[in-house]
Amino acid sequence: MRLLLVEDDPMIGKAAALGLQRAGFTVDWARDGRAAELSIANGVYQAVVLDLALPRKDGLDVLREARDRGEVVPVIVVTARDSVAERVAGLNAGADDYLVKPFDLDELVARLHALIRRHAGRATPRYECGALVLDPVARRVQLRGAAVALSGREFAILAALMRVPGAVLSVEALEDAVYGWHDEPDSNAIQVHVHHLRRKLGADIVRNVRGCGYRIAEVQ
Amino acid sequence: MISLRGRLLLWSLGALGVGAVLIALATFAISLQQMNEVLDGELRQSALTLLSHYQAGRPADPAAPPGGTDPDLDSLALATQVWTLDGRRIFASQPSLELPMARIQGFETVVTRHGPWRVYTDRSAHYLIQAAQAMAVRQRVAAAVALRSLVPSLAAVPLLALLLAGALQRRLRPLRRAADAVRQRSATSLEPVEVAALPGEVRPLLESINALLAQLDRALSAQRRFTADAAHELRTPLAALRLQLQIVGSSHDAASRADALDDAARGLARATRLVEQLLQLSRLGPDAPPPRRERVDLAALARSVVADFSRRADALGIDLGVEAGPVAASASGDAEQLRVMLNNLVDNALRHTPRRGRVDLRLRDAGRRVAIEVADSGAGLPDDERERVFRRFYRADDGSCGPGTGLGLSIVRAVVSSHGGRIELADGLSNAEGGRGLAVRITLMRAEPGAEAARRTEYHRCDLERG
Repeated sequence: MRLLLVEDDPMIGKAAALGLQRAGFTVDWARDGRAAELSIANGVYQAVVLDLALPRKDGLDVLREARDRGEVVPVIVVTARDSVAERVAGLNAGADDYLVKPFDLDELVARLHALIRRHAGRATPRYECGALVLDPVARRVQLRGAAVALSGREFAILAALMRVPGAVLSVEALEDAVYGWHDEPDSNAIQVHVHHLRRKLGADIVRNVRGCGYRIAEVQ
Repeated sequence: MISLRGRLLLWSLGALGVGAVLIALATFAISLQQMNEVLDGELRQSALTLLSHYQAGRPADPAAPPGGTDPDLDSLALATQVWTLDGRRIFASQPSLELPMARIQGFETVVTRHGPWRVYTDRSAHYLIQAAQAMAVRQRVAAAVALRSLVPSLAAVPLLALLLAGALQRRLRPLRRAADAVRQRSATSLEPVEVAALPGEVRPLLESINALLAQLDRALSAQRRFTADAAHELRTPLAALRLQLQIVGSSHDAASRADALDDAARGLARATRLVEQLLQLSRLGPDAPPPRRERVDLAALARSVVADFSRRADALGIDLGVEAGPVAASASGDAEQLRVMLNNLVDNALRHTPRRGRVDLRLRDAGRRVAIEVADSGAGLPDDERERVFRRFYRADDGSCGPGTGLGLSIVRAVVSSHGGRIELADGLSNAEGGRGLAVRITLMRAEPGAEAARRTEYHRCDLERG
């Protein structure tokens, strides 16, 4: 799952990016308001963690303008401003959640997962496709009750495919969901990972939709 | 201590009493005088009547009182005497009264064996008539009148006392209300007290109290704002530290754990530095005591500060040095505060200067003052930011290397203003990328010739190297 982290403080940014990566996210780190604005406009993120006190452009303005442009990506605002008035302003500007610094990394991760699944139209935390169950928070996959070991990238691709039930994702979309700015995947990296997934889960699970991309099929 | 009201009442009633007595005395005098006029008139009239009787040849035949009795002193009854011109008393209505035969016509007061008598003498061709009246009785009547006039005056005293007390009570009530209002003021409610209803004499006092309340309000608000700002600003370093420690917890191999601990140590240093700077600022606030006035050798101080920062400057690849020249610069001030000021300036300069850049400390003569300047070859500061940059917690918008706390220049300005100095921002050293750099120039007063030299203070540097 690809995440945009917007934070100007180097220490907080570094620690948060590292922590979120360890929790299984692919993290792009923007350090000021202008960079955040441009990145959000790319539309490749499952969620955005937005600090409000940013140089070059204030976080609330970035949020408001993104919403005005029609960006629906879930945004969790993280800031030191904690008065009720400021929380209300943040939520009214289009934030989906509001976290006050100092915050706990685990809590941030849990809230992000909650936002992402709600945005994908699901209520339960786990992605289920028949007998295939993926827990994005615990980072576990089970097929017919048996655990399946997947690499980080394989897990990310499977999660991207299972996040919205029945969705078809192109190779480009899968690349966007799984690789960050600083990754340089090979041109057929996705295909290789899909091949590995088919080996581990069964050939029928990841279906090829001709000319469109990949889809997860109902698993018995 | 008798209250103002008590004293006013006492003096007013005293004045009233004295006035009443004076009025009574005046009444006595006036009554007496009027009585004298009236009764003298009667005396004269009686004498003239008697005279005319004798003129007409009819000797008066008043019933001669029995001899030997004392003259009537208590009534207003007249005593009359008739003399022949050769000194023979031929008639006396009260024979025991011995009035000498007067030679002059008119009124006189005669002192007899029986007290003073008022005598009117008139004469005809053959006779001398005298009519007399005892003075004592006149005085007694006048006294009675005067005393009677005193009664209402004295009766008025308690009445006036009551009225006065009531009036004072009413006039002083706004004062009591004002006192209650002041008593109700507390650290959380410092609004000014109503002065409109107060008497003019007391208003200046309440206006001074209101001015003091306003000053107190400002000081407390400034303090509250500082505390709130400080708490807010501490969130960022603490948030970083919390995350960094969680990263340590989730690092399972030695190398990543070492990295994570390193980051956490830097995070802690940053938080500690912020707290230290906040303490420095709070000690320099508007209600801080004035600084010591010692002779501070600025050249030595500059060299000492540069020595303290040289390791960090080397690690950052920055050329840090002193350009003191031949200037013998002794400033008048507090050595420790001036060191704090220089530390913050050099720290700022190092944060904003790129690798291979340069930071100079320069000393200059400025007439009656001495100037010390810290110039860097960083990106510089646009003119419109030069005023804002002194605000607490303000951080320049340029992505400088290493985050600052935003407090350094606030501290510098506080030290400069408590020393009565001046601070100026100007262009510093230009660099290869076209940046203008920044120079912060401080002018301080020279030391008095006889001032004591500053003791060498051991200043706790708090990890200047890590920054």
